Amino acid sequence: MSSARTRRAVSGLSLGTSSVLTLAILYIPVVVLVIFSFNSARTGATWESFTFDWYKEIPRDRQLMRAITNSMWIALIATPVSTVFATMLALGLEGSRFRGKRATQQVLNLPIVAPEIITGVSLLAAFSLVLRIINDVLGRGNADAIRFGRPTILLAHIAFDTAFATLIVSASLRNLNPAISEASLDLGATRWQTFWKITLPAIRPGVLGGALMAFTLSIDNFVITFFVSGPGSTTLPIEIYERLSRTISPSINAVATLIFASSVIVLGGALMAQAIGSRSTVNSDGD
Amino acid sequence: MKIKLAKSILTAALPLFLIASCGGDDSSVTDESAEMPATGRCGDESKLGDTLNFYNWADYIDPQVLTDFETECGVAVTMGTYTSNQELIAKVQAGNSGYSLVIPTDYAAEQMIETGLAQKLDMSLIPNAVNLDPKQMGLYYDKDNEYTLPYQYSTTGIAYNSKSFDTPPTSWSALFDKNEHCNKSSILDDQYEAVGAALVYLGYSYSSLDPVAHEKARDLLIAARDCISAFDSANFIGNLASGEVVIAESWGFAAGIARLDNPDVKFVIPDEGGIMWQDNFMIPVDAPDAYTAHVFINYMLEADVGAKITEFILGFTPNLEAAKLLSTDYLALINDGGIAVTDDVRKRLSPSEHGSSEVFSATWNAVTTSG
Amino acid sequence: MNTVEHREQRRLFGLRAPAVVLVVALYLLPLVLILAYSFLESGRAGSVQWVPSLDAYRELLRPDPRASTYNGYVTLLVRSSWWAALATLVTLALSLPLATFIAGRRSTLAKNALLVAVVIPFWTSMLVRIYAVRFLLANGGPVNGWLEALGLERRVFLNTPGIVFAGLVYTALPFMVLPLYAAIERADRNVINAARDLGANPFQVFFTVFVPLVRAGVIAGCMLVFVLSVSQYLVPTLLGGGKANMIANVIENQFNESQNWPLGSAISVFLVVFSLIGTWWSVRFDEETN
Repeated sequence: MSSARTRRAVSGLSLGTSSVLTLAILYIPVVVLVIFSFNSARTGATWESFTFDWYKEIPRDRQLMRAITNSMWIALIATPVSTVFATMLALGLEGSRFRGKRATQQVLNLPIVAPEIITGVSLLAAFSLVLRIINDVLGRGNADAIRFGRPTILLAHIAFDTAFATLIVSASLRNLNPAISEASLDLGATRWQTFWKITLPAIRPGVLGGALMAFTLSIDNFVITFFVSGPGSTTLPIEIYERLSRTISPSINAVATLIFASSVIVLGGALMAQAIGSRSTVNSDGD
Repeated sequence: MKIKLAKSILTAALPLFLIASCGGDDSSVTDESAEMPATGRCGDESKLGDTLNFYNWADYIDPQVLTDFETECGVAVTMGTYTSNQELIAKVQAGNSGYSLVIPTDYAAEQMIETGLAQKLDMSLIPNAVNLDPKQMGLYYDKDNEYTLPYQYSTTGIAYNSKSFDTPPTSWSALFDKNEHCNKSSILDDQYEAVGAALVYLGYSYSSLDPVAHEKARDLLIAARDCISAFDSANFIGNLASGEVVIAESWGFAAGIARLDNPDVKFVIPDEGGIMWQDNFMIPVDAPDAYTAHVFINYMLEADVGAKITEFILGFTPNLEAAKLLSTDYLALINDGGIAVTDDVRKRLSPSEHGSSEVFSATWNAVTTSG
Repeated sequence: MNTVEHREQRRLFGLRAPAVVLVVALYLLPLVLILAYSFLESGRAGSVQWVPSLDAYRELLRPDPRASTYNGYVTLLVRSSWWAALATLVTLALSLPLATFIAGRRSTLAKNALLVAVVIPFWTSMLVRIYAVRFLLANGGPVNGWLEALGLERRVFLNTPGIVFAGLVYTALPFMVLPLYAAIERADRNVINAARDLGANPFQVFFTVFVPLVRAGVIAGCMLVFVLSVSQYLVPTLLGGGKANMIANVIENQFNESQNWPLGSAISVFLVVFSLIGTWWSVRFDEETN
């Protein structure tokens, strides 16, 4: 008996140890980066002194500021649009049966399972073709031709944001008891009233989670954006990537830390939304 | 609760937005209230565009020049960057790139002119072209300078950390043959530069298309892969400065940049030979705003602007007027670092004239996909 | 169907329409275009000529007498798949204990804290995470600085196939832990406890009871990680220094520098087929198990 208990204790201990190790692997690189973003030395080999200098350089860097602005512009438009599309999609999918539902779901999974490199090059090809046709038809020449730029990036972002956000909103919708909304309709409420007053409040955490995920995905995206951007539409990840191929630039560490911090903040917002939502949501599972 | 949650999104977004708005507005600046001096360096200002898309090598212009041009002439220059001529050619060849000004290297300029990607320059808009050194004009790729004007020129050789070598390296063998500096060396990630260096080391010419020569070069490079830590045209500058790399195939100006951070870095043109190459202004045939591009070229050919550019890039300026304004710091950096081209060095330099890309890219492909 | 049902179906269709149109237009159709391009001839300006040709596939599969292996492209396809498969197994081995550990926490606070700890890297930009590894292990970076301070020799970590492989695992970890955790949470504890009570030792319980119960999560995680790893672009680019390229690098090169779109499309088709087989199989497996 005691040997079984020791065996269980040992396996428990090794479980804990390997878990801690795995978490350490996950965190050490970024934590070190954050710490060294405050290092005044230009190389990372030694710690010199604590400084905010690299952060202060950021607002003075026009190119970087432009990249941040581009990223925000795209994310702040893509997020609401994709969240709305995702919510509509979730409503149109859950609990409905129609021919080709499975095929539709497979197609809607594409943005999630498709490798980003493939999406990137295929959008490059598709947009190039379409833009050339449009420019030919509209007779637009060099000066006013429609090119790759923020609109092409925006389209791409809305597409994958919608797919990912749908996952989260659908999960929330699935927990909802359809009887309540059915009751509301029976009592004479219109579909819109039912949605606005019953369904939406109930799935609010899911919708918000979806929105925050869409925002994060848009801000962080590199590979797809890399292929569909144009002159002047560089986003923050692309700007960072280009700078990594340049002469030493310690302010990169500061920018990277800021991105990490904003991810944590957005994640915090998402968790708050879930926590608040699950406390005040009316749903029959009694969660 | 909706408001609370909306606020949490905005709180996340707000800091970034605030930083962005502090950073200086680069939308079209026509500040009527400030008196803009009519510098005469901006051409016909009524015909200038609000923005100019400029495609250039990374870190190949002083950002201050872009800001100055915006202040003086009211044009916001957006710069995209590339790290290889292949990237540049591909972008322009695809058409409708949106760039009005590009900076191809000599052989790339030749290719672009031959495939009709360049438009003829209107020299009446570039009076400052008289500042240019006749020795750098009329080169093989554009004999009458119809499509290009010189921007910067430099050389390709070996940069090394003098502290790591008892005697300074004088031959490409210091890079290609197994030595004590394995894993601390790099060669340029460019089919012409890398394969060319191997060819020259083996006694052929830089642009040889001899299949036997290419086979030997390929084998040499594949064998050298064990020792060379990276094929890299960008990070090696920082790596030289930090000591991560102690010997690298390098451009002259890149060695200069590394020397700024680490004076132990020196440069040499190997005995077997090196190249002298030149980067040029060129306006793509489908440039959205050729007029503003011309004006910007003329602006950059001003003596003071040219000097600023060269003091930043640390290459050689083809602008004789600008050369008069170069500082003693610059001259010291170039001369003491072995970067300057003396008559003795010039004998070892070939012009950068590259042969067929298919042969070189096949060889390079074989090297990069091996092992 | 009567008119009420008709209207209902139309309403639901209208709700689905924007998203479906978007995904079809930006994901499905471009993929078809790429497939078409792979059977065309390469053009110059404009990148393809609408002339059917098998050149791309011939180039892709043509044995190269001068290369040490079959040819450059096949080498990289095989290498990427092999590394991705190995990386998936290693990631699984690291993630399974962690996910089990989290699921086994009795305090909800601990459980939630650990979950947040796993989710944070999941939400952080991949570019930042990979750059962090590069910064950490650079010759002039903190790890080498510490080694020197300890009196040891500086070591070269980057620009090797080893670090690229490690980078694959590092990037994939959050994507494996979360589905595993979800599956473990859902697993029926009673079965596990019953096995223990019946006297099975921890290894027996693990392999014959636990693993089959969470099989769906394992498969889902593995397929996700495999597709992610085989098509990785940032890891080999930032950590490999051009010396440990993967198939995504080749595809990018064909589309950006070499401008051979049909060839790039042909390589992409191969990559897509790989991924499709994997995900289709995992979906079917999941449905069967459910």
